[in-house]
Amino acid sequence: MKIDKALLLPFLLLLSAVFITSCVSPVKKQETCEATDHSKKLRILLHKLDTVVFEPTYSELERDAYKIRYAGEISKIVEDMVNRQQDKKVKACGLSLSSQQEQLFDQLSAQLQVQVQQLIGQVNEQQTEFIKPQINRINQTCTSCHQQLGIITP
Amino acid sequence: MSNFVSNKSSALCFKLSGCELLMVSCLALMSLPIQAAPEISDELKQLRAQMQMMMKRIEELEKQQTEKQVIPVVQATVTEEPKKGKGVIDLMSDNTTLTVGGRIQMNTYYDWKESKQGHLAYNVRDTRFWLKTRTKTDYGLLSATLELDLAGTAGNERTSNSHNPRLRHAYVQLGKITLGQTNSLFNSIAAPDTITAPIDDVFVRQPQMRWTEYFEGSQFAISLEQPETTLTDSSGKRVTPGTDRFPDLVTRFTWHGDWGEASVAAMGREFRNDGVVAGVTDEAYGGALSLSGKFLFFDYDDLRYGIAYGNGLGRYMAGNYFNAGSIDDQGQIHLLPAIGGHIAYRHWWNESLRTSLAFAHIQTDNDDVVPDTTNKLGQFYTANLIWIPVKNGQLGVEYYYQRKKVQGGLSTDSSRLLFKASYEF
Repeated sequence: MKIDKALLLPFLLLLSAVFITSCVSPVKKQETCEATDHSKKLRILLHKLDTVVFEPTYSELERDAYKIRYAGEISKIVEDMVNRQQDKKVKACGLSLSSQQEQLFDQLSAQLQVQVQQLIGQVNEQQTEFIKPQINRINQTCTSCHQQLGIITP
Repeated sequence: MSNFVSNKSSALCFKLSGCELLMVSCLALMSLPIQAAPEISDELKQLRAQMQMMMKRIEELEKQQTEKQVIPVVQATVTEEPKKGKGVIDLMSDNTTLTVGGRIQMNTYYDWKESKQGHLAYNVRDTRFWLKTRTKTDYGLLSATLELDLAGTAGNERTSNSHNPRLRHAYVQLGKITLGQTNSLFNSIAAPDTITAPIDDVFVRQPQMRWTEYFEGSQFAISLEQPETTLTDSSGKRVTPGTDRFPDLVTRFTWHGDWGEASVAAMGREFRNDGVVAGVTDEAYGGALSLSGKFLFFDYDDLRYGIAYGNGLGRYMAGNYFNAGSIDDQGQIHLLPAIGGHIAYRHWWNESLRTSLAFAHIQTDNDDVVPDTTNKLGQFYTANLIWIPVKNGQLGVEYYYQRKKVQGGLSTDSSRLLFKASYEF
């Protein structure tokens, strides 16, 4: 069977156009620190977690497996971030913090540590329906810290 | 000395038994005449020694009594705090969590076919409803899922459009074991993100028994699934003898990482006609291989692919567009090799707007048994634009072109413009 070239050619052209558009999409270059790198990875994983419900053929069994996988990856990144925050040098992307800000940072960091441990527990117990609310709580803590300390995220 | 003993004994009286109290009192009384007769000093020394022993004994008893009175610490029953999540009902009394969810979806489409002027239709048959439970047991986590949609018998378009519910999934999962009806393990893991399933869709939903083993970055699964022989007879009619003896055996290995995911699946099946056609018994064994997956690009985009080949594909591909083989007038089974594949690119214009472009192709090598009207091949092209205006909600528009050809060479073209609105709850 021969593939109809009259149809395949425009299809390939369209495919190429979309692919090239993806390649040349403007990416804002800016100074980043570990927190902003983590933020970008987390943003992508959160997007995957949110859109897995739109996958056309997945069963709930498969959706749950993907949710657990993505949540596991998120928890690893956040846990790594919390552990690194113990090091003062990487605290708040190297910003010089006042004692009050430092106190706030430590407080939110401790809160994040508790929240990520809860998330790890939920992932291990496959409590899929509790994962997203817990990630939202983590997101709120991160956002609160970034806003109050003026940390720029991509 | 006597005063001391007297005071001590009175202080302890509430803790000592009657016998011990009597002994202490006797010794106290005995000490008085001893003091009154200092000449018998040896006796006094002995009595003092006895007294000291008694005091020691009293102290030991006191200690024991105190220990007995210690109230054991009762461990507070730790009740799990009710957790909040989407559609969650915590049935605390039975350690079971019940989750409710589903989807409301409306499809609108306009068809063009060669011989028709066009056809417009609306339906909500892709609407779904599911229930999930999760219970902690001694053997691990036990979860159960029941899902229905409205794609059963269609209601009429004249009055009420009362489409019947249809079973999609009904399974139980205990640790690594899955029992019940759900998607076949042989299904493609990376179907294009299109509103209409592509023509090569490797997709079956059926009862099965599955074992899944998880590793870091990969997983292996094996399942025994519902068998069903589908053959084409010499008149072109589909024959399903219903005399299968062995389950379809499917295995799959999947890898995933930052680059995307890839999966290889293999399937083995028995095909059997036990006297249904021509009164004879015949059987054949076939199989199929599948490779599917996706590569990730530019953070959000992905390229999805899938290819399946074998002489046992039959009903597993394209909604049974091809049968697995033919059965001649003597009742003999002939398996027919088939191949199908797709490639699709999904691009996210931003976090809520995406486009998928997909191409799919299927074909089979029919033999001389089947008539000229038997399906031979199909091709499918599609492009869509889907927007997520609200969380869990979608609006999409899609166009596809499809061409089908039968054994005799006759081909038909069709096109469809679709609009989809859905909300996952």
